[in-house]
This record gives sequence, structure tokens and C-alpha cells, in this order.
Amino acid sequence: MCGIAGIIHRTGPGDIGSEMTRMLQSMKHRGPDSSGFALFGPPTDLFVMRVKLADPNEVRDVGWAERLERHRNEVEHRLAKIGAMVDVLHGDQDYAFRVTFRYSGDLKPLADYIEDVPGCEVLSLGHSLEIIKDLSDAQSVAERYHLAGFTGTHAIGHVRMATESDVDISGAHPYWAYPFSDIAVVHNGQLTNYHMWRRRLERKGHRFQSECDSEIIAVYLAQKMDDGLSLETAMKQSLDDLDGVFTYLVVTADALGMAKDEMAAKPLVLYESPELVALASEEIAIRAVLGREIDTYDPYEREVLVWNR
Amino acid sequence: MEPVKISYDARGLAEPDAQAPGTATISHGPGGATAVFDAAELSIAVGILARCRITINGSLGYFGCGLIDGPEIQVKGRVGWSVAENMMSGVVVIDKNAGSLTGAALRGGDLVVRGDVGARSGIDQKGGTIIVGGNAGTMTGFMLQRGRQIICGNVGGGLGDSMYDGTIYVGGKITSLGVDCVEAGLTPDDDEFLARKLRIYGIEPPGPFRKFVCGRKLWNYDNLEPAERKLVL
Repeated sequence: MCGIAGIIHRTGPGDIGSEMTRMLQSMKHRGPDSSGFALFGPPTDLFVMRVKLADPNEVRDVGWAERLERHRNEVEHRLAKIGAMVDVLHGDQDYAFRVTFRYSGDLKPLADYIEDVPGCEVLSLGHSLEIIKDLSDAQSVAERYHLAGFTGTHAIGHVRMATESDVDISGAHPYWAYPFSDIAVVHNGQLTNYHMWRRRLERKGHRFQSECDSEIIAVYLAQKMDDGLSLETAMKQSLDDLDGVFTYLVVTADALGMAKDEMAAKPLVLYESPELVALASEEIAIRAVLGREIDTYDPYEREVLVWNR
Repeated sequence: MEPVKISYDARGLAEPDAQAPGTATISHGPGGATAVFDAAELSIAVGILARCRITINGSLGYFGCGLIDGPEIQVKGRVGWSVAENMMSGVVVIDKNAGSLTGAALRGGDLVVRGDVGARSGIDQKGGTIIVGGNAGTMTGFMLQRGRQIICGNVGGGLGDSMYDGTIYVGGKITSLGVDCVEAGLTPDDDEFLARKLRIYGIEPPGPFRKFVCGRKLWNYDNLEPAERKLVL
């Protein structure tokens, strides 16, 4: 089933960490396996990278802690070697950490080099995008990663009921559009031409972190935008190129977008005001942020909408 | 009509750990029961099998007013997906918009949405009447078996796709017809029915309606099928 949610503040930063936590937690019944956040904090000159070194449900053998420490040091070493100047490296968990750094080169070689470290996966990379995802419900993940004080302009999130791939962090949403900066996607549905698009994008040199069909959407959109299309045009093209049932949300450094397939088979409820746009699989998630009577509506089939911060 | 005693505690119905401010306040009076819901909770006012009046001040989440037999319910807000699913009799009036699958498998009674509805309204509807004051999404009346739908606004693609029987009236524009859905001529009985239903619920007619029914060309209307089945049996 899964649940998706998005929020964008149009007049300045808001408490997107706690807001998205409340939205996702209210939809826990739609997916208890994992929860994920893509949060856009204040943009800086620094890059911020979220990395996982292992999955929390892996067997913790005798060498677990020592191995992760060694791999974290190796990431730091490789960042320096490729020309990045590390600012702060902070470990939320022993298997996941956040690092900020200065870097002027291409992102793909950097991400490839980091992911060459055993077990290492770059969850997000950009000037303001931070993807935090882990097993269990949204409240637990938010507490584990201290998201209560996270302020920013826009965010998307996902609660997952695993149906097609494993219950692990790699299968959790949101998906970063590797290797493009500051683009992420959450998706509710199934893509039936996933393998075709995966082969096409792999031939262009992209790699995929998971076996999840949703990851295709992020890379597809980012590639289209890299080819010169606007976000909205890329999303409209996706309605013809992607086959299956889907409602997805996408975030870039300054925008939040939604798209629904031609069958409108997956739900989405939308609330829009001059200050705020909030949308989710169920209205209960929007009410979790706006505790008052509001007017909402369901976007129709083949509808694409984009809002800027 | 005697008001019946109902009791709700909607707090946390959708999610025990939710921090959403879910509350329900019930008051009883000569006009029936009034309930206030302020967090769009799921599965509210479900399975009521009695004649009574309920007014809901607020909006409902998924599956509101499902499996009811008899009550008159007014929702002074919006409802989520699958409102009045399997409703058997009574009246449900939604003052604002409704999500998709509105009146799924409806068996009887009147379901009125004054605003817009999402996709697949009246999917597998088996009786009763669905009235929509605004627009409807794709596949409206998908697999409609019996009953009627009155859509005053525009409808999306695939109207009446694979419908078996029943009637759909549309007052606005139609994106496309679904498989085996054909247009039929309005009769005086249709005109009288439309005028009466819209008058009851205070909905202004949008102009002339068009009528759509099943073309009966699909395999399930094939005369050979029973014979073939006999051979197999």
C-alpha cells in the first residue's frame, strides 16, 4: 500500500522535520516496514551527504563495530583523496552518518568512489537535500536521527509496506536521483516497464541502489532535467514513458511536484494556501499538521502540479 | 424518526500512536445526533443499521459511512476514498468534495456529493443513486451493475467502462466513453427522475443531461456462453 506525503512552505522556512514526522506517523497503517524523509534545509556552499554503511537488521558479528569504524574512516580518507574538504562528519547511528564538505568536482566520480567502500551507500548528496530513512515507523526514525529541530522549506516522506523487495534501508524511500544534486522522489504504486527503463538508464551510465521500481522515477526525471527540460515538462513526459499505476512526489532544491498516472489508481489529497502546500495519501496526514477544518481535493488522472518555495 | 443513541471515541482510530488531534464530540437532540470530527479519521459512522439522523461537523477519512442500512447522514465537510461503500439504504449527503471510489458497491439509498469526486465513482455499484454536483474523475461507473449516477459536471476518460447495466446521466463534458458504454436517448421518465432527485437535494440542474447505458456487446452478453458452459459441465 505505502503512504506518501509532501509539504512546502512558500513564505520561509518551517519545522519540516517535526511536520513530516507527524504526517508520516499518522499514516503508519499504510506501511510499517520503513519510513523515510527527504528534507531541504537552508542551502549552503557546502555539500551535505548522508551515507549508510550497513543495514540495522544485519547480523552484528564480533567485528561489526570495528568494521564500520574502519569503513567510515575510509570514506573520510577517500573524500580527502578526491579533493573534498571535510567540514563536519557526524554519526547518527553506528551504521549511518552525515558529512558536510567543500567540493568543486563532478558528483558522479565522488559518489562512485565512496560507494566502492564495502557496504557503503550514498543516500543523498546535495547542497540542501538530506535523505534520512530507516526501518520502523516515522516517530522512531525521527527520534533516532534527531529530526525534531530540522527546519527548512520543503520535504517529502514515505512509509513503506514492502511488497516487491526486501525490508531494508536500500528498499526504503525516498530515493535520491543518483548522481544528480538535490533531487529525490517518493512513489506509491508499481511500474510495469521498470526493467526496460532501468536498462536504458544503465546504458547512460547510471547505477541503481536498489531493486525497487520507484528509484527509476528519480533518475529518469533528473536525467530529463539534465537534458534541458523543466521539472514540469519532465514530469509530464513521465506520464507517457512510465507504465503502471503510480502517484509520485518529487523535490528539487526549490520545488515540490506531484504526478498521477492516467488511471488515478493511487490516492493523493491536496491542500493549498498562499503560505503552504501539503499533500498526502490520506487527509489525516494533512490534518496532523493543520489541526483545523480545511478544504482539500483529489488531483485527477494525468495531473502534474509543481510548486516553488 | 427517533434519534438513536450512538457513541464514538474516534481518538486514535486510524493510528494508536498518532499525534493527530483526533476527537469526537457527540450531542443528541430532536434532530438526531451531531458528531464533530476534526482530524479526518478513518472508518467513521460505519455499520449503522438503524433509521436515525447524524450530522457530522467536519471531514472524514477513508471508508466513512460504509455498510450502513437506514441512517440519514450529512457530512459538512469532505470525505476520503470509499465513502458509503456497500451502503444498503438511507441517505448520505457530503457538502464538499469526495475522494475516489465514492459509493463503491453501493446497493441502495441516495449518496449525494455536492462537490467533486475522484476516480471510479460507483465502481461495481449494484443499486441506489449517486448524485455528484461537481466533476467526476476517470472510469466513473466502472463495472456498474445496477442503479443510477447523476454527474452534473464533467467526467474523465473511460465513462461507464465495462458496465453491465444501470444508467449514468452526465450534465457536463465527457472526456471519453469506456468499453461497451453507449449513449441512449432521454425519456420523459428520465427527465422526471432527474428533476425530482436534483430538487430533493437542492442542486441546480446544469442544463441538458446526456444518458449512458450498457451496449451489451461484451463477452458476458454472448448467447453462446451458457451453451458452452453446459458442454463443460
